[in-house]
Amino acid sequence: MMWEAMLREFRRHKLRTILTMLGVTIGIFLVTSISSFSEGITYYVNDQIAVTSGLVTVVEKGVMGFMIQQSEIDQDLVEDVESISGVEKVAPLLFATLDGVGSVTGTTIESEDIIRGINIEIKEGRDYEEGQKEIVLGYTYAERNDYVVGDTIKIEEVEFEVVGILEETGRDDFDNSVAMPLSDLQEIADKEGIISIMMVQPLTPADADLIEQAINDDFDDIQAASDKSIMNSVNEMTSQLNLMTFALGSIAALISGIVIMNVMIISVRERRREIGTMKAVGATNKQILLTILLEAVTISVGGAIVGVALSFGGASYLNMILLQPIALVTPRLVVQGILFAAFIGIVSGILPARHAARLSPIEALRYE
Amino acid sequence: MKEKIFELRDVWKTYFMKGIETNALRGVDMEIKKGEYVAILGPSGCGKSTLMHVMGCLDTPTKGRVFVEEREISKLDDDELAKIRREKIGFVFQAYNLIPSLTAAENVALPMRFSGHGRSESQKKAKEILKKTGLEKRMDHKPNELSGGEQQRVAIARSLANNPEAILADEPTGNLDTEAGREIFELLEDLHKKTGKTIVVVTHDINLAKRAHREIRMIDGKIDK
Repeated sequence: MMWEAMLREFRRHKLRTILTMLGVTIGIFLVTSISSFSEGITYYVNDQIAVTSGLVTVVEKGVMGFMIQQSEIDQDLVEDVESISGVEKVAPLLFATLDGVGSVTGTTIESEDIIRGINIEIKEGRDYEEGQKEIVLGYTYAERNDYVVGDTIKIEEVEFEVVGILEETGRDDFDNSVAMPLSDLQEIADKEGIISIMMVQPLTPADADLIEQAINDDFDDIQAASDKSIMNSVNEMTSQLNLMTFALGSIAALISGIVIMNVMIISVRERRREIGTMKAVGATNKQILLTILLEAVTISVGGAIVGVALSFGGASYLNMILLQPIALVTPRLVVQGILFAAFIGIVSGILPARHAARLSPIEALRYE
Repeated sequence: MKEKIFELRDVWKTYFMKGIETNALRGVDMEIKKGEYVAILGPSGCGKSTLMHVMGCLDTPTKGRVFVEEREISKLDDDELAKIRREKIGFVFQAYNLIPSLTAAENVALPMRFSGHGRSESQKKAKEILKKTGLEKRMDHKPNELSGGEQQRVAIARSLANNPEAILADEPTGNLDTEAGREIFELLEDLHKKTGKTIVVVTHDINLAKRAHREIRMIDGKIDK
């Protein structure tokens, strides 16, 4: 109703307004950043499960599922895992980040049908052969970098030939992939005899749990998880994160709510005369109430908008630490953060607003 | 016989300050007809401002009956009183009471905004009124950029915003020097002449009060007959 008056009021107390907003900004920033992580991890895992469906993932002991880039396993263990009963096949995988191409996945020809379990065809060219310095590129990767079959790419000072390009799958991890034989990657990345993870294919789906248990019981250096238990542990983690977010959110809301309420009480007290004048010239209690309430909500939502904007940076930072694009500020989180702030504004503004609305015009006019 | 705009019957106003009972009004009987130009006169503390507040629906009497245009206001709720203040009465205060963060035009537009008129419509009308009160060149200035006389002119313009039936001015020249005070009275007189609005001025300045058409003298919370 009286936007111009409100905006000028904010300008008149610039520092006070900014500091009050800051409380909300920090709260919403923290809550949204943490939520972006649990939100992202749910997306990420759901996406992964589509690929690893039915498989048992083996990583270095102590490495969390979403940080498999950091996992390192002795390649000799592949044979040991293969000998576990119920195992049909084991695919060793090595991930490395190399000059010239970025992240590269190395595997053996024999295990490709496990890895590309969702039937990805080679669109152009053929598959790589071991020891020939050949690579296969994902569709988007090739497109973006303008590579065609027959091109050579210099990776860590060694020239590789692009022999195949995969069809488009719509999945980032395949479309942006660079793949080469495991042995070639081990050599060029200086990781002889080392792999990142194993993907184990059970004979029957029912064997997955038994294999998982056998590996976890009998090996000291590796751990296994079926897609089911990955899902479970992720759900457990996200629900813990959500609990933490809830606790943090409540504290942030409480503190910023108290700050806003305090500032609004002071502001109403300072403006008793103005409020009285407004009532004398005809403002109703409701109009005064809404004016003050709107101020509180504007401060709070203004702070939240900045907080949400910063959380995009927070999410990128998390992804940088995790070395993977996991944290995701979804539209749902944006809306949630802003609505939450509006709620804080209403709750903390209602008391001062009611106080202002109930001021008698004459009391307010007398106040000098 | 002209219609009555204000009528007070045995009106009492009692304040309790730190346990002490003070009667600001002690049984006031009075009426003001539409179109009158009345000065309420009396020493400070005689209750003349309280009388104006009660008349103007800013305050309610402790006892007695108050009528505005024949309607008893003592029983109305806050919203109904606000509506009367907004539509029937324009106030001018001793300390001008302008909103410091708003320009002169925005201050004048304020009552129109509270009546639900849009921003640009209110601004346009506010500027027209300001022109008539001789503040054409000061419309976009803030109160602290205006002289006392100019601020009071803005306040008078604001009191006219919703085209009310009556203007109630409480010591409108109290904060002004003689010259500026005389100008304000001339403006009010001019207003009365041109618009025929009821004007009630509270003052303790006998010379200024003489310009009104009728004087009501107050002493110790009563009308001095």
